[in-house]
Amino acid sequence: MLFNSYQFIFLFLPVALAGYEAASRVHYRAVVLWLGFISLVFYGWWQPSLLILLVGSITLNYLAAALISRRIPNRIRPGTWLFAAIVLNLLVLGYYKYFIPTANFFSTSFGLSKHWADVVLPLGISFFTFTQIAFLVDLTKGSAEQESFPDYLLFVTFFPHLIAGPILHHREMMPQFKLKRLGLNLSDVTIGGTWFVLGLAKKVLIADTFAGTVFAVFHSRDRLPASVAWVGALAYTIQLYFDFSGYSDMALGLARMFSIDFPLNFNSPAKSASIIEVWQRWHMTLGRYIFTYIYNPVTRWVSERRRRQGKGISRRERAMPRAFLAVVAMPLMLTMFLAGIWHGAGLQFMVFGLLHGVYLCINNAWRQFYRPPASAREKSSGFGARIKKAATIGSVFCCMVISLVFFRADSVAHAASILAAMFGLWAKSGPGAADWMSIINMHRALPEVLLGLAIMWGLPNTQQILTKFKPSLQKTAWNQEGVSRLLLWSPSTGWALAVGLLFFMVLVELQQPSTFLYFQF
Amino acid sequence: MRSMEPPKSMEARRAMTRYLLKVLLVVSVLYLFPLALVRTEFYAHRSLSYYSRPLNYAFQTPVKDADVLLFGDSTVLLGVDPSQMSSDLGVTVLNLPNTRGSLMVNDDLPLRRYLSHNRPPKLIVFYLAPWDFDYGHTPFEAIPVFEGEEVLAAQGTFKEITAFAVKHPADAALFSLRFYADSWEFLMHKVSHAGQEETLASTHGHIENTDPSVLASPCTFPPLLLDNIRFEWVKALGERYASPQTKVLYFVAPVPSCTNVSVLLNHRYDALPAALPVVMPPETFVREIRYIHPHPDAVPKITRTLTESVRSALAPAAK
Repeated sequence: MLFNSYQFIFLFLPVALAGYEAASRVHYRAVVLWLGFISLVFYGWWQPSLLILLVGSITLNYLAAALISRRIPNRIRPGTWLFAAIVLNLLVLGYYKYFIPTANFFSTSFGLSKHWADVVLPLGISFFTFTQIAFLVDLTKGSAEQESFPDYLLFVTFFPHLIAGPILHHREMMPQFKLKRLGLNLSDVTIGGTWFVLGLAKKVLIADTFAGTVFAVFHSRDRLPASVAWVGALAYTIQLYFDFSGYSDMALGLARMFSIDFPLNFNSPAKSASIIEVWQRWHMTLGRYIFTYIYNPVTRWVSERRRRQGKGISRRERAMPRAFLAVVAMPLMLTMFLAGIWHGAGLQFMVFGLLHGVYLCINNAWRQFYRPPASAREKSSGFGARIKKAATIGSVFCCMVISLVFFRADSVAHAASILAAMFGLWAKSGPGAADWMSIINMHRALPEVLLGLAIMWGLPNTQQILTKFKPSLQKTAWNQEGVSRLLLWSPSTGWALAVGLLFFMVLVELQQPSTFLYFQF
Repeated sequence: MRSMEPPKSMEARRAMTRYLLKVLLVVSVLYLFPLALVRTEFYAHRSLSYYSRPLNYAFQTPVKDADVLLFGDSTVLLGVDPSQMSSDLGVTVLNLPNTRGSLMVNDDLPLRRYLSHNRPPKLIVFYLAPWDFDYGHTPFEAIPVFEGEEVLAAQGTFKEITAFAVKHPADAALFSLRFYADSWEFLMHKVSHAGQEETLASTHGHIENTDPSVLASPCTFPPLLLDNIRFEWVKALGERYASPQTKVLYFVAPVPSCTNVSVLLNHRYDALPAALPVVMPPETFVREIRYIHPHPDAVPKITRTLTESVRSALAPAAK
């Protein structure tokens, strides 16, 4: 079921909230059961048969957890059970997400006639698989506890995060599920509902506006003029940005309506002044996941190996190029390679990941090897500093736009052709810029892109707007620098009018709902 | 899990309640506004949708006791001038304008309404595009039906509107939202209604197609149109209206000579019974997805063709 559909807004959500309230009056455990049940309904709405996979995955992982924690007595080492469970999870994921596209890729590459029929990719399979692997890893390390099955089922399936994240950590969620419920909390419903509407507006009123332009540019097989290629790439960046940002807002808002706090997942990454910062602000829970469960273990392994070889790992020693390559660059490239293919089976996703690996290596190397002079560090305010900051943010954003061309293109070659067009490397052929103006409706696309960029850079994000009401698990108040007081949400008449109007505009636009881009991952 | 988060005080709780109620009020007012607006005189003359004025004309026509009634889709509205027919035939000819979308919602409501206040005509002409004769069997998702809902909301009785809402609850619930979406689209496309009301009044139910484009030649009918050539719905409708006082004539709108026109002609029009559609050069039609809206220059010729058929149909009665 889509968050941006009438069925969800007018049927599913009211029933879920009413059931939550009713269950809380019966017993607090009934709330867990109700939320688990309604989440399965949510997942099965589109294709009920996929519930078998979801419930099967949860049951097997729960069984693995019981074996690891020895709740089911056995003599096999927990690490062995963990290894087996991870392999099984990855096999299932690999079958649905990678096997058939890869087989078809090789079939096409080697000119074979065999074409494997596509299977339906179960929604959110990456999300629920990696959530469960993390739980098993932590259980093996002793930093998690075996939970009751209803708690575990709810942790994995809770509908606001089930399809496209945020990727939850059991340490954040389990304690919340164990507290006694007191039913619906009016302020949580209000704040969560407002957040949901703001996210819905981002998705429906902003992101979806760019779909036509993006489709026209990325489905063209002609050689594009540079201006059109840039408009297409920027339009896709804005579309993806607000699509995922809107989805994250909706997920966090929905959870808040049930008085459950999620971790932040999106924090204005376009305002980042470095690629490292981008990954701290874009799909934050995925970044946290891959750095916790891939990058850090690999770095530890490399460091340990170097220590055994008698090589140093101190900060000073890491500043040597060879050490930097071993301790920082190699783990980063591996991590980002995996982050790339996490998004899909195409080579273009791999290139996307590796490109970000290169970006991050350069960024880390810059920090490691370049020390700005003290005088430059002191001049961190004033007009010049602001220009410098804007230029830095702009160049980081350009790096994002370039990488996202791989994210959207059908293949590496297609992405390369669009990038070549963006940098004016194509000889002029096919429709001219003037023809393209009409093909993609440029007189409308360009102002839309400029408006999208203005919103991205000029307005506060939703957690800043809602900051007075602690909108997420993160404890610290969000950075309020430059945020007008008028834009800080409060239950005032002005905000009621604005939110009511936005909600109604969304309802008008929802007549043909579109899916979320991150559902495919 | 949060149970007692700030704001805790009763005042804060009241503020949240007031806020929620205000949000709901805004949404409710915006939702209900079109329902009240569409029935006003102001809206009848200021509606943004292109066909609203002709569709309202079907219910508000001042022409009484017409001898010949034209009833069809937009092809007759845009392609036939009833006043020219009146002067050629010497009888009163009136078109009760419809579109494909309005027919799907209202079916023969304008005809029923007209006949309830006027004496039966000598002839009713059912004039439609070949792919519109079975409009009653088309699912609502396939065609924009807002224009039909709009005229029903404006002209329908409580009973008629309720009957529609019971039959199509989801569409009825979406009406207000479609009102905004469609009005916005018309606003963006700068649709002009200039002169429509005057032309409707002077021609007795015709408007001029303001689209200056011409259908490109060679043209090809899309399968979506060709696959929907069936006649059951309008055939049954005609049989209901035929009586000793009133004859019924089925007329298939002229079609452009696209490359695959033979597919279109290869249907049993005699089963209606109707003559084969007249085939005209593509440039006598405007360039749009319907393929069959005539260019204004072609209206006199198309009208003459229909006039001759009507003359033949009326002839025995004249004897």
